[in-house]
Amino acid sequence: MFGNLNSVLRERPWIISIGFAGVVLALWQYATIQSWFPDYILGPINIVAEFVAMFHRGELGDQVGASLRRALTGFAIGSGIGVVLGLLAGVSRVFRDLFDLTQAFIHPIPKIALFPAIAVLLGFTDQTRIFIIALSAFFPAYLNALNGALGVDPRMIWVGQNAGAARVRIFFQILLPASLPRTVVGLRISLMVSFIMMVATEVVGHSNGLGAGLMRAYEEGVYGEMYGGILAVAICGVLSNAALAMISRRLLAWQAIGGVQRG
Amino acid sequence: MIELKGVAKTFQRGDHVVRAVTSVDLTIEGGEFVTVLGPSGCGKTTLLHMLGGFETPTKGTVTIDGQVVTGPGRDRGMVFQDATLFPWRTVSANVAWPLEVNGVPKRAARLQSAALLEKVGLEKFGNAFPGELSGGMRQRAALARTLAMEPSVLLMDEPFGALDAQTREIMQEELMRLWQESDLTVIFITHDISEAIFLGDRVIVMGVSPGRVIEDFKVELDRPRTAEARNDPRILEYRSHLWGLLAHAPSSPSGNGSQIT
Ligand SMILES: Nc1ncnc2c1ncn2[C@@H]1O[C@H](COP(=O)(O)OP(=O)(O)OP(=O)(O)O)[C@@H](O)[C@H]1O
Ligand SMILES: [Mg+2]
Repeated sequence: MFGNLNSVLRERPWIISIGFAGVVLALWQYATIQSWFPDYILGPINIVAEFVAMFHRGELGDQVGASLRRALTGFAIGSGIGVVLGLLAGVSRVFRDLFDLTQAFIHPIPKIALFPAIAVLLGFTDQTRIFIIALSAFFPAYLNALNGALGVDPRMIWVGQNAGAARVRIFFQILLPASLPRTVVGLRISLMVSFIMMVATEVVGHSNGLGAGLMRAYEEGVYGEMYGGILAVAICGVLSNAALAMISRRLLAWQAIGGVQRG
Repeated sequence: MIELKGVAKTFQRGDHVVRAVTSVDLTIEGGEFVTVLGPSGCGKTTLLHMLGGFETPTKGTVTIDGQVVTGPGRDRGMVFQDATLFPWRTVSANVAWPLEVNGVPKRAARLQSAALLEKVGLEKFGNAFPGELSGGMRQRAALARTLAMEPSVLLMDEPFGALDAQTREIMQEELMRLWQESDLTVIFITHDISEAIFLGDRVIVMGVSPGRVIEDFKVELDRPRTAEARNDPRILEYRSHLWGLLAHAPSSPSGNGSQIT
Protein backbone atom coordinates (compact mmCIF):
# COMPACT_ATOMS: atom_id res chain seq x y z
CA MET A 1 0.00 0.00 0.00
CA PHE A 2 2.81 2.40 0.91
CA GLY A 3 4.69 1.30 -2.18
CA ASN A 4 1.71 2.43 -4.21
CA LEU A 5 1.64 5.81 -2.45
CA ASN A 6 5.37 6.20 -3.02
CA SER A 7 5.10 5.70 -6.74
CA VAL A 8 2.17 8.15 -6.96
CA LEU A 9 4.28 10.75 -5.15
CA ARG A 10 7.32 10.10 -7.33
CA GLU A 11 5.31 10.76 -10.46
CA ARG A 12 3.66 13.89 -9.06
CA PRO A 13 6.22 15.54 -6.78
CA TRP A 14 4.15 18.74 -6.63
CA ILE A 15 1.64 16.92 -4.45
CA ILE A 16 4.21 17.05 -1.67
CA SER A 17 5.02 20.77 -2.01
CA ILE A 18 1.38 21.83 -2.38
CA GLY A 19 0.33 19.50 0.40
CA PHE A 20 2.95 20.87 2.77
CA ALA A 21 2.06 24.49 2.03
CA GLY A 22 -1.62 23.61 2.47
CA VAL A 23 -1.02 22.04 5.87
CA VAL A 24 1.00 25.05 7.08
CA LEU A 25 -1.67 27.51 5.89
CA ALA A 26 -4.47 25.46 7.46
CA LEU A 27 -2.63 25.30 10.80
CA TRP A 28 -2.00 29.03 10.63
CA GLN A 29 -5.67 29.76 9.92
CA TYR A 30 -6.76 27.39 12.70
CA ALA A 31 -4.40 29.10 15.14
CA THR A 32 -5.81 32.54 14.36
CA ILE A 33 -9.38 31.29 14.69
CA GLN A 34 -8.48 29.81 18.08
CA SER A 35 -6.84 33.17 18.94
CA TRP A 36 -3.53 31.55 19.75
CA PHE A 37 -1.77 34.55 18.22
CA PRO A 38 -2.21 38.20 19.17
CA ASP A 39 -4.96 39.72 17.02
CA TYR A 40 -2.63 41.86 14.87
CA ILE A 41 -1.58 38.64 13.20
CA LEU A 42 -4.12 37.79 10.52
CA GLY A 43 -4.89 34.38 9.10
CA PRO A 44 -4.19 33.62 5.44
CA ILE A 45 -7.85 33.80 4.42
CA ASN A 46 -8.21 37.25 6.01
CA ILE A 47 -5.01 38.41 4.30
CA VAL A 48 -6.26 37.31 0.90
CA ALA A 49 -9.61 39.02 1.59
CA GLU A 50 -7.77 42.21 2.54
CA PHE A 51 -5.62 41.92 -0.58
CA VAL A 52 -8.70 41.57 -2.80
CA ALA A 53 -10.37 44.55 -1.12
CA MET A 54 -7.27 46.72 -1.66
CA PHE A 55 -7.16 45.58 -5.24
CA HIS A 56 -10.78 46.66 -5.78
CA ARG A 57 -10.19 50.02 -4.14
CA GLY A 58 -7.51 50.57 -6.79
CA GLU A 59 -4.73 51.56 -4.41
CA LEU A 60 -2.81 48.33 -5.01
CA GLY A 61 -2.57 48.87 -8.75
CA ASP A 62 -0.97 52.30 -8.27
CA GLN A 63 1.47 50.98 -5.69
CA VAL A 64 2.45 47.97 -7.77
CA GLY A 65 2.91 50.14 -10.86
CA ALA A 66 5.20 52.61 -9.11
CA SER A 67 7.20 49.89 -7.40
CA LEU A 68 7.63 47.67 -10.42
CA ARG A 69 8.77 50.59 -12.54
CA ARG A 70 11.43 51.41 -9.95
CA ALA A 71 12.58 47.82 -9.41
CA LEU A 72 12.72 46.91 -13.09
CA THR A 73 14.41 50.16 -14.17
CA GLY A 74 17.06 49.71 -11.50
CA PHE A 75 17.43 46.06 -12.39
CA ALA A 76 17.76 46.75 -16.12
CA ILE A 77 20.37 49.49 -15.68
CA GLY A 78 22.40 47.76 -12.96
CA SER A 79 22.42 44.26 -14.35
CA GLY A 80 22.87 45.49 -17.94
CA ILE A 81 26.02 47.39 -17.03
CA GLY A 82 27.07 44.50 -14.79
CA VAL A 83 26.85 41.94 -17.58
CA VAL A 84 28.75 44.08 -20.09
CA LEU A 85 31.54 45.00 -17.67
CA GLY A 86 31.68 41.45 -16.33
CA LEU A 87 32.13 39.94 -19.79
CA LEU A 88 34.75 42.56 -20.69
CA ALA A 89 36.63 41.84 -17.47
CA GLY A 90 36.39 38.14 -18.26
CA VAL A 91 38.20 38.43 -21.57
CA SER A 92 40.52 41.35 -20.93
CA ARG A 93 43.20 41.42 -18.32
CA VAL A 94 43.21 45.23 -18.48
CA PHE A 95 39.52 45.53 -17.70
CA ARG A 96 39.78 42.92 -14.98
CA ASP A 97 42.58 44.80 -13.23
CA LEU A 98 40.73 48.07 -13.78
CA PHE A 99 37.54 46.99 -12.02
CA ASP A 100 38.85 44.50 -9.53
CA LEU A 101 39.85 46.71 -6.62
CA THR A 102 36.92 49.12 -6.91
CA GLN A 103 34.55 46.22 -7.17
CA ALA A 104 36.06 44.47 -4.15
CA PHE A 105 35.65 47.64 -2.06
CA ILE A 106 32.09 48.49 -2.97
CA HIS A 107 30.68 44.98 -3.09
CA PRO A 108 30.68 44.26 0.68
CA ILE A 109 28.94 47.57 1.54
CA PRO A 110 25.23 46.96 2.12
CA LYS A 111 23.96 49.32 -0.57
CA ILE A 112 21.14 50.59 1.65
CA ALA A 113 23.84 52.13 3.83
CA LEU A 114 24.64 54.42 0.89
CA PHE A 115 21.07 55.64 0.72
CA PRO A 116 21.57 58.73 2.93
CA ALA A 117 24.81 59.58 1.15
CA ILE A 118 23.18 59.44 -2.26
CA ALA A 119 20.13 61.26 -0.89
CA VAL A 120 22.38 64.19 0.05
CA LEU A 121 23.19 64.49 -3.63
CA LEU A 122 19.88 63.64 -5.25
CA GLY A 123 17.40 64.00 -2.39
CA PHE A 124 14.92 61.29 -1.34
CA THR A 125 13.86 60.98 -4.95
CA ASP A 126 13.14 58.29 -7.44
CA GLN A 127 16.61 58.75 -8.93
CA THR A 128 18.20 57.94 -5.59
CA ARG A 129 16.07 54.84 -5.18
CA ILE A 130 16.72 53.61 -8.68
CA PHE A 131 20.42 54.31 -8.26
CA ILE A 132 20.55 52.20 -5.09
CA ILE A 133 18.58 49.38 -6.75
CA ALA A 134 20.83 49.50 -9.82
CA LEU A 135 23.98 49.46 -7.71
CA SER A 136 22.70 46.41 -5.81
CA ALA A 137 21.66 44.64 -9.01
CA PHE A 138 25.06 45.34 -10.56
CA PHE A 139 27.17 43.01 -8.43
CA PRO A 140 25.52 39.60 -8.88
CA ALA A 141 25.29 40.31 -12.62
CA TYR A 142 28.90 41.48 -12.85
CA LEU A 143 30.42 38.63 -10.85
CA ASN A 144 28.50 35.88 -12.61
CA ALA A 145 29.11 37.28 -16.09
CA LEU A 146 32.81 37.57 -15.21
CA ASN A 147 32.97 33.95 -14.11
CA GLY A 148 30.95 32.88 -17.12
CA ALA A 149 33.38 34.62 -19.46
CA LEU A 150 36.41 33.20 -17.65
CA GLY A 151 34.99 29.73 -18.21
CA VAL A 152 34.61 30.13 -21.98
CA ASP A 153 36.92 27.88 -23.99
CA PRO A 154 39.42 30.33 -25.57
CA ARG A 155 39.17 28.33 -28.79
CA MET A 156 35.57 29.53 -29.17
CA ILE A 157 36.97 33.05 -29.42
CA TRP A 158 39.72 31.81 -31.74
CA VAL A 159 37.09 30.46 -34.14
CA GLY A 160 35.77 34.01 -34.34
CA GLN A 161 39.23 35.48 -34.90
CA ASN A 162 39.95 32.82 -37.50
CA ALA A 163 36.90 33.97 -39.46
CA GLY A 164 38.13 37.55 -39.19
CA ALA A 165 35.16 38.71 -37.12
CA ALA A 166 35.29 42.16 -35.54
CA ARG A 167 35.62 42.40 -31.77
CA VAL A 168 32.04 43.62 -31.33
CA ARG A 169 30.72 40.64 -33.26
CA ILE A 170 32.85 38.23 -31.25
CA PHE A 171 31.56 39.86 -28.07
CA PHE A 172 27.87 39.58 -28.94
CA GLN A 173 27.83 36.43 -31.05
CA ILE A 174 30.37 34.26 -29.22
CA LEU A 175 31.32 35.54 -25.78
CA LEU A 176 27.81 36.54 -24.73
CA PRO A 177 26.02 33.29 -25.69
CA ALA A 178 28.91 31.14 -24.49
CA SER A 179 28.75 32.66 -21.01
CA LEU A 180 24.97 32.95 -20.95
CA PRO A 181 24.22 29.94 -18.72
CA ARG A 182 26.24 31.50 -15.93
CA THR A 183 25.19 35.07 -16.71
CA VAL A 184 21.53 34.13 -16.35
CA VAL A 185 22.18 32.82 -12.84
CA GLY A 186 23.51 36.29 -12.01
CA LEU A 187 20.51 38.01 -13.54
CA ARG A 188 18.11 35.98 -11.43
CA ILE A 189 19.95 36.91 -8.26
CA SER A 190 20.04 40.55 -9.41
CA LEU A 191 16.30 40.54 -9.92
CA MET A 192 15.63 39.24 -6.42
CA VAL A 193 18.03 41.78 -4.96
CA SER A 194 16.24 44.51 -6.93
CA PHE A 195 12.96 43.60 -5.26
CA ILE A 196 14.53 43.61 -1.82
CA MET A 197 16.07 47.02 -2.47
CA MET A 198 12.83 48.28 -3.95
CA VAL A 199 11.00 47.72 -0.66
CA ALA A 200 13.97 48.87 1.42
CA THR A 201 14.30 52.18 -0.40
CA GLU A 202 10.56 52.85 -0.46
CA VAL A 203 10.04 52.71 3.28
CA VAL A 204 12.38 55.71 3.75
CA GLY A 205 11.55 59.29 2.76
CA HIS A 206 8.31 60.31 1.10
CA SER A 207 7.76 57.68 -1.49
CA ASN A 208 4.91 55.92 -3.14
CA GLY A 209 4.85 52.24 -4.03
CA LEU A 210 4.44 49.01 -2.09
CA GLY A 211 7.17 49.66 0.46
CA ALA A 212 5.70 53.07 1.32
CA GLY A 213 2.24 51.51 1.56
CA LEU A 214 3.54 48.95 4.02
CA MET A 215 5.14 51.63 6.16
CA ARG A 216 2.02 53.77 6.17
CA ALA A 217 -0.15 50.79 7.11
CA TYR A 218 2.23 50.08 9.98
CA GLU A 219 2.18 53.66 11.22
CA GLU A 220 -1.58 53.90 11.02
CA GLY A 221 -2.01 50.50 12.60
CA VAL A 222 -4.04 49.04 9.71
CA TYR A 223 -2.36 45.66 9.81
CA GLY A 224 -4.67 44.10 7.26
CA GLU A 225 -3.34 46.46 4.61
CA MET A 226 0.18 45.74 5.73
CA TYR A 227 -0.25 42.03 5.13
CA GLY A 228 -2.07 42.70 1.88
CA GLY A 229 0.94 44.77 0.77
CA ILE A 230 3.39 42.04 1.76
CA LEU A 231 1.39 39.55 -0.27
CA ALA A 232 1.52 41.95 -3.24
CA VAL A 233 5.32 42.24 -2.94
CA ALA A 234 5.60 38.46 -2.83
CA ILE A 235 3.37 38.01 -5.87
CA CYS A 236 5.35 40.62 -7.87
CA GLY A 237 8.60 38.88 -6.96
CA VAL A 238 7.35 35.42 -7.87
CA LEU A 239 5.85 36.57 -11.17
CA SER A 240 8.95 38.55 -12.25
CA ASN A 241 11.17 35.63 -11.34
CA ALA A 242 8.95 33.27 -13.29
CA ALA A 243 9.02 35.60 -16.30
CA LEU A 244 12.81 35.79 -16.21
CA ALA A 245 13.04 32.02 -15.77
CA MET A 246 10.84 31.55 -18.81
CA ILE A 247 12.90 33.94 -20.94
CA SER A 248 16.15 32.27 -19.92
CA ARG A 249 14.75 28.80 -20.62
CA ARG A 250 14.00 29.94 -24.16
CA LEU A 251 17.42 31.55 -24.59
CA LEU A 252 19.13 28.47 -23.22
CA ALA A 253 16.99 25.90 -25.01
CA TRP A 254 20.12 24.67 -26.83
CA GLN A 255 21.63 23.76 -23.48
CA ALA A 256 18.99 21.16 -22.76
CA ILE A 257 19.97 19.33 -25.94
CA GLY A 258 22.61 16.67 -25.45
CA GLY A 259 25.85 17.86 -23.80
CA VAL A 260 25.07 19.83 -20.69
CA GLN A 261 22.41 18.51 -18.36
CA ARG A 262 20.34 20.90 -16.33
CA GLY A 263 19.53 19.94 -12.75
CA MET B 1 54.89 28.39 -49.01
CA ILE B 2 54.93 28.06 -45.24
CA GLU B 3 58.23 28.46 -43.45
CA LEU B 4 59.03 27.84 -39.81
CA LYS B 5 62.41 29.08 -38.64
CA GLY B 6 63.66 28.12 -35.20
CA VAL B 7 60.12 28.06 -33.85
CA ALA B 8 59.87 27.33 -30.13
CA LYS B 9 57.10 27.68 -27.59
CA THR B 10 57.33 27.46 -23.83
CA PHE B 11 54.49 27.63 -21.34
CA GLN B 12 54.76 28.70 -17.74
CA ARG B 13 53.01 26.20 -15.53
CA GLY B 14 53.22 27.21 -11.89
CA ASP B 15 56.93 27.70 -11.25
CA HIS B 16 58.25 25.43 -13.95
CA VAL B 17 58.60 25.95 -17.66
CA VAL B 18 57.08 23.49 -20.14
CA ARG B 19 59.02 23.33 -23.38
CA ALA B 20 56.10 22.38 -25.63
CA VAL B 21 57.97 22.91 -28.90
CA THR B 22 61.71 23.45 -29.34
CA SER B 23 63.39 24.83 -32.39
CA VAL B 24 61.37 23.56 -35.32
CA ASP B 25 62.60 24.32 -38.85
CA LEU B 26 60.19 23.32 -41.56
CA THR B 27 59.23 24.31 -45.08
CA ILE B 28 55.88 23.32 -46.52
CA GLU B 29 55.14 23.97 -50.19
CA GLY B 30 51.79 25.28 -51.36
CA GLY B 31 49.40 22.45 -52.16
CA GLU B 32 51.26 19.90 -50.07
CA PHE B 33 49.49 17.43 -47.78
CA VAL B 34 51.59 17.09 -44.64
CA THR B 35 50.68 14.80 -41.79
CA VAL B 36 52.13 15.20 -38.31
CA LEU B 37 52.52 12.16 -36.10
CA GLY B 38 53.73 11.93 -32.54
CA PRO B 39 52.96 10.77 -29.02
CA SER B 40 50.60 12.67 -26.76
CA GLY B 41 52.05 15.90 -25.39
CA CYS B 42 54.79 16.31 -28.00
CA GLY B 43 53.53 19.73 -29.04
CA LYS B 44 51.54 18.92 -32.18
CA THR B 45 48.57 21.07 -31.21
CA THR B 46 50.85 23.88 -30.03
CA LEU B 47 52.66 23.84 -33.37
CA LEU B 48 49.39 24.01 -35.29
CA HIS B 49 48.09 26.84 -33.08
CA MET B 50 51.22 28.82 -33.94
CA LEU B 51 50.70 28.19 -37.65
CA GLY B 52 47.12 29.41 -37.22
CA GLY B 53 48.34 32.53 -35.44
CA PHE B 54 46.37 31.71 -32.30
CA GLU B 55 49.52 31.44 -30.25
CA THR B 56 52.75 33.36 -30.70
CA PRO B 57 56.05 31.52 -30.79
CA THR B 58 58.35 32.26 -27.87
CA LYS B 59 61.23 32.10 -30.35
CA GLY B 60 61.51 31.99 -34.12
CA THR B 61 59.12 33.01 -36.86
CA VAL B 62 56.34 31.52 -38.95
CA THR B 63 56.02 33.02 -42.42
CA ILE B 64 53.49 32.36 -45.15
CA ASP B 65 54.54 33.41 -48.64
CA GLY B 66 57.13 35.63 -47.04
CA GLN B 67 54.68 37.31 -44.66
CA VAL B 68 55.29 36.85 -40.94
CA VAL B 69 52.24 35.39 -39.19
CA THR B 70 51.12 37.76 -36.45
CA GLY B 71 47.58 36.54 -35.87
CA PRO B 72 44.76 34.38 -37.18
CA GLY B 73 43.40 34.86 -40.68
CA ARG B 74 40.86 33.35 -43.04
CA ASP B 75 43.68 32.12 -45.29
CA ARG B 76 44.48 29.52 -42.62
CA GLY B 77 41.37 27.61 -41.63
CA MET B 78 41.64 25.70 -38.37
CA VAL B 79 39.72 22.60 -37.32
CA PHE B 80 40.37 22.33 -33.60
CA GLN B 81 41.15 19.14 -31.73
CA ASP B 82 37.67 18.60 -30.38
CA ALA B 83 35.09 20.32 -32.48
CA THR B 84 34.45 23.82 -31.24
CA LEU B 85 31.02 24.31 -32.77
CA PHE B 86 28.81 26.97 -31.21
CA PRO B 87 26.32 24.87 -29.22
CA TRP B 88 23.71 27.64 -29.33
CA ARG B 89 23.52 27.63 -33.12
CA THR B 90 22.14 24.91 -35.34
CA VAL B 91 24.64 23.01 -37.47
CA SER B 92 23.71 24.95 -40.59
CA ALA B 93 23.89 28.28 -38.72
CA ASN B 94 27.34 27.26 -37.49
CA VAL B 95 28.55 26.63 -41.02
CA ALA B 96 26.93 29.85 -42.24
CA TRP B 97 28.62 31.93 -39.56
CA PRO B 98 31.95 32.66 -41.29
CA LEU B 99 29.97 33.61 -44.39
CA GLU B 100 27.82 36.06 -42.40
CA VAL B 101 30.99 37.54 -40.96
CA ASN B 102 32.07 38.21 -44.52
CA GLY B 103 28.84 40.04 -45.26
CA VAL B 104 27.12 37.29 -47.23
CA PRO B 105 23.35 37.84 -46.82
CA LYS B 106 21.64 35.31 -44.52
CA ARG B 107 19.73 33.46 -47.23
CA ALA B 108 22.71 33.05 -49.52
CA ALA B 109 24.80 31.98 -46.52
CA ARG B 110 22.26 29.27 -45.66
CA LEU B 111 22.32 27.98 -49.23
CA GLN B 112 26.10 27.80 -49.29
CA SER B 113 26.06 26.17 -45.87
CA ALA B 114 23.68 23.49 -47.18
CA ALA B 115 26.09 22.75 -50.03
CA LEU B 116 29.01 22.49 -47.62
CA LEU B 117 27.06 20.16 -45.33
CA GLU B 118 26.37 17.95 -48.29
CA LYS B 119 30.07 17.84 -49.02
CA VAL B 120 30.75 16.39 -45.54
CA GLY B 121 27.68 14.12 -45.62
CA LEU B 122 25.61 16.02 -43.07
CA GLU B 123 22.88 17.34 -45.35
CA LYS B 124 20.20 15.81 -43.11
CA PHE B 125 21.50 17.46 -39.95
CA GLY B 126 21.41 21.17 -40.80
CA ASN B 127 18.62 21.85 -38.34
CA ALA B 128 20.13 19.82 -35.52
CA PHE B 129 22.04 21.43 -32.67
CA PRO B 130 25.66 20.32 -32.12
CA GLY B 131 24.57 18.65 -28.89
CA GLU B 132 22.48 16.23 -30.93
CA LEU B 133 25.39 15.04 -33.10
CA SER B 134 27.91 12.28 -32.45
CA GLY B 135 31.54 13.25 -31.95
CA GLY B 136 32.45 12.33 -35.52
CA MET B 137 29.54 14.27 -36.96
CA ARG B 138 30.58 17.32 -34.97
CA GLN B 139 34.06 17.07 -36.44
CA ARG B 140 32.62 16.97 -39.94
CA ALA B 141 30.40 19.97 -39.21
CA ALA B 142 33.43 21.84 -37.88
CA LEU B 143 35.30 20.96 -41.09
CA ALA B 144 32.39 22.35 -43.13
CA ARG B 145 32.44 25.56 -41.09
CA THR B 146 36.17 25.94 -41.69
CA LEU B 147 35.78 25.27 -45.43
CA ALA B 148 33.19 28.07 -45.50
CA MET B 149 36.10 30.49 -44.97
CA GLU B 150 37.65 29.26 -48.21
CA PRO B 151 41.11 28.99 -46.69
CA SER B 152 44.18 28.22 -48.75
CA VAL B 153 45.74 26.32 -45.85
CA LEU B 154 43.72 23.81 -43.85
CA LEU B 155 45.00 23.08 -40.34
CA MET B 156 43.43 19.94 -38.92
CA ASP B 157 44.01 18.69 -35.39
CA GLU B 158 43.15 14.98 -35.11
CA PRO B 159 39.87 15.54 -36.94
CA PHE B 160 39.05 11.86 -37.33
CA GLY B 161 40.18 10.72 -33.90
CA ALA B 162 36.62 10.22 -32.68
CA LEU B 163 35.43 8.19 -35.65
CA ASP B 164 34.92 4.44 -35.90
CA ALA B 165 37.36 2.68 -38.22
CA GLN B 166 34.98 2.44 -41.15
CA THR B 167 33.69 6.03 -41.10
CA ARG B 168 37.25 7.10 -40.62
CA GLU B 169 38.39 5.47 -43.85
CA ILE B 170 35.46 6.96 -45.72
CA MET B 171 36.27 10.41 -44.34
CA GLN B 172 39.94 10.01 -45.25
CA GLU B 173 38.99 9.22 -48.83
CA GLU B 174 36.56 12.15 -48.90
CA LEU B 175 39.23 14.50 -47.60
CA MET B 176 41.68 13.11 -50.15
CA ARG B 177 39.20 13.78 -52.95
CA LEU B 178 38.43 17.25 -51.63
CA TRP B 179 42.11 18.11 -51.46
CA GLN B 180 42.89 16.66 -54.88
CA GLU B 181 40.13 18.77 -56.44
CA SER B 182 41.45 21.93 -54.82
CA ASP B 183 44.79 23.61 -54.38
CA LEU B 184 44.56 23.45 -50.58
CA THR B 185 47.64 23.00 -48.45
CA VAL B 186 46.74 20.64 -45.61
CA ILE B 187 48.56 20.14 -42.32
CA PHE B 188 46.94 17.23 -40.59
CA ILE B 189 47.70 15.96 -37.09
CA THR B 190 46.99 12.36 -36.23
CA HIS B 191 47.85 9.58 -33.80
CA ASP B 192 47.21 6.97 -36.44
CA ILE B 193 50.25 5.73 -38.39
CA SER B 194 48.21 4.30 -41.28
CA GLU B 195 46.23 7.51 -41.56
CA ALA B 196 49.43 9.56 -41.63
CA ILE B 197 50.82 7.42 -44.46
CA PHE B 198 47.64 7.14 -46.52
CA LEU B 199 46.93 10.89 -46.46
CA GLY B 200 50.36 12.48 -46.43
CA ASP B 201 52.80 13.49 -49.14
CA ARG B 202 55.04 13.85 -46.20
CA VAL B 203 54.97 12.56 -42.65
CA ILE B 204 56.54 14.65 -39.92
CA VAL B 205 57.23 12.74 -36.75
CA MET B 206 57.57 14.60 -33.49
CA GLY B 207 59.18 13.45 -30.26
CA VAL B 208 58.40 14.44 -26.73
CA SER B 209 60.13 16.25 -23.81
CA PRO B 210 61.09 18.50 -25.28
CA GLY B 211 58.68 18.59 -28.22
CA ARG B 212 60.67 18.51 -31.48
CA VAL B 213 60.71 17.12 -35.01
CA ILE B 214 62.56 13.80 -35.15
CA GLU B 215 61.74 12.73 -38.69
CA ASP B 216 60.45 14.30 -41.88
CA PHE B 217 59.96 11.85 -44.71
CA LYS B 218 58.31 11.59 -48.10
CA VAL B 219 55.54 9.10 -48.83
CA GLU B 220 56.04 7.83 -52.37
CA LEU B 221 52.54 6.41 -52.90
CA ASP B 222 50.91 7.36 -56.21
CA ARG B 223 48.69 10.39 -56.64
CA PRO B 224 45.78 10.66 -57.05
CA ARG B 225 45.36 8.30 -54.13
CA THR B 226 42.19 6.25 -53.78
CA ALA B 227 41.14 3.42 -51.50
CA GLU B 228 43.37 1.08 -53.62
CA ALA B 229 46.45 2.76 -52.22
CA ARG B 230 45.74 1.11 -48.88
CA ASN B 231 46.92 -2.20 -50.35
CA ASP B 232 50.22 -0.83 -51.61
CA PRO B 233 53.04 -3.03 -50.24
CA ARG B 234 55.19 0.03 -49.50
CA ILE B 235 52.75 0.94 -46.74
CA LEU B 236 54.02 -1.96 -44.62
CA GLU B 237 57.57 -0.68 -44.96
CA TYR B 238 56.55 2.84 -43.96
CA ARG B 239 54.57 1.49 -41.06
CA SER B 240 57.43 -0.45 -39.58
CA HIS B 241 59.80 2.48 -40.07
CA LEU B 242 57.41 4.83 -38.24
CA TRP B 243 56.69 2.24 -35.55
CA GLY B 244 60.39 2.01 -34.90
CA LEU B 245 60.72 5.77 -34.54
CA LEU B 246 57.74 6.11 -32.22
CA ALA B 247 58.62 3.10 -30.12
CA HIS B 248 62.02 4.59 -29.40
CA ALA B 249 60.70 8.06 -28.74
CA PRO B 250 60.30 8.47 -25.00
CA SER B 251 56.65 8.85 -24.08
CA SER B 252 55.37 11.85 -22.22
CA PRO B 253 55.14 11.53 -18.45
CA SER B 254 52.22 13.97 -18.55
CA GLY B 255 50.67 12.38 -21.61
CA ASN B 256 47.04 11.41 -21.46
CA GLY B 257 47.77 7.90 -22.54
CA SER B 258 46.56 8.26 -26.11
CA GLN B 259 47.57 5.24 -28.12
CA ILE B 260 49.67 5.14 -31.22
CA THR B 261 47.84 2.74 -33.50
N1 LIG C 1 48.15 26.64 -22.51
C1 LIG C 1 49.06 25.79 -22.00
N2 LIG C 1 49.60 26.03 -20.79
C2 LIG C 1 50.52 25.20 -20.26
N3 LIG C 1 50.99 24.11 -20.88
C3 LIG C 1 50.50 23.82 -22.08
C4 LIG C 1 49.51 24.63 -22.72
N4 LIG C 1 49.23 24.09 -23.92
C5 LIG C 1 49.99 22.99 -24.03
N5 LIG C 1 50.77 22.82 -22.94
C6 LIG C 1 51.75 21.75 -22.72
O1 LIG C 1 52.57 21.67 -23.87
C7 LIG C 1 52.82 20.32 -24.21
C8 LIG C 1 52.39 20.06 -25.61
O2 LIG C 1 50.97 20.14 -25.67
P1 LIG C 1 50.16 19.87 -27.02
O3 LIG C 1 48.72 20.08 -26.70
O4 LIG C 1 50.74 20.70 -28.09
O5 LIG C 1 50.44 18.32 -27.28
P2 LIG C 1 49.86 17.36 -28.39
O6 LIG C 1 51.02 16.79 -29.11
O7 LIG C 1 48.84 18.07 -29.20
O8 LIG C 1 49.16 16.23 -27.53
P3 LIG C 1 47.87 15.35 -27.86
O9 LIG C 1 48.28 14.35 -28.87
O10 LIG C 1 47.52 14.71 -26.56
O11 LIG C 1 46.82 16.28 -28.35
C9 LIG C 1 52.13 19.47 -23.17
O12 LIG C 1 53.06 19.12 -22.18
C10 LIG C 1 51.08 20.39 -22.61
O13 LIG C 1 50.81 20.06 -21.27
MG1 LIG D 1 46.82 17.87 -29.48
